[in-house]
Amino acid sequence: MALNIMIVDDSPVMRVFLRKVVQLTGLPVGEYCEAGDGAAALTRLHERWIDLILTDINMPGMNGEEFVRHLETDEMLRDIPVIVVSTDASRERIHRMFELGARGYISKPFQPEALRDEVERILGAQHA
Amino acid sequence: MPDQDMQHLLATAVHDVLETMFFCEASDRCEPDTGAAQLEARVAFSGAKSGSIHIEISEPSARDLAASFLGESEVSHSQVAQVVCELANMLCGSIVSKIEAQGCFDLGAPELLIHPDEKTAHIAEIQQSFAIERGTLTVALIPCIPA
Repeated sequence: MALNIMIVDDSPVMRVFLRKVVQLTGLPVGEYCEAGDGAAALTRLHERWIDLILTDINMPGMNGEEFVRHLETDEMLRDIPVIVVSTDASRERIHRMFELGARGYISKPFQPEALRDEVERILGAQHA
Repeated sequence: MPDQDMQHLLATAVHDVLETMFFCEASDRCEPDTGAAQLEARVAFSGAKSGSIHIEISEPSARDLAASFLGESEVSHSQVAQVVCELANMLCGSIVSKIEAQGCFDLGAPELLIHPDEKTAHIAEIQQSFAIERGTLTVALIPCIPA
């Protein structure tokens, strides 16, 4: 089954980069959806089916922490797996994002295999 | 953290970020390139320790890194600027995550410096330059000086 993937990052070049990394992993992708912050992402999530969210933390407007917190309180959205992709590799931040409801965490810099491994761990090997 | 450890930490972050995300190798330390046009960016951080990471990169090198990062042969000036900001962001996160591995910190939004402060070298706690394809990359850790 092809995955519809949402990329949430305020940096347009980072969104392009993440698309390319996803392509390199060989994951079957249906559609990509992009948003520049958590608020825009929440709006789009109510408009289309998304299987997996990749989100940054540090964004203007609604940041990644608030975004994940909102997802957890929304019954329609809370089951969508979220992988955080961030430059922040501190243990406390990683712990906090998992506590809020993130299912995976990748610290930049990272190899494409790291994303593939995280998706496989979360969604199961049939998607990887 | 001892000065030598900080130098090592900074150099490791530069090599990791350039090789993993930009498919680019950096040679060991060199003198900053003062001849070519430079792009500068800064990312502030706050936590147990506060300050900012400044980077300065030769314009041709920045264009090459942007093309490599985006997988495109042609990149716009705007994309080059955004990639330089993203490079600063990744270096800042990588360096500060190691300095404050046990704690939590906040990163500011990356800023491209239009009118760079020429005194950066004088106030930097640590500053190193690296030779990269078609220029140099200089990275400086600027501590926040309490008022």
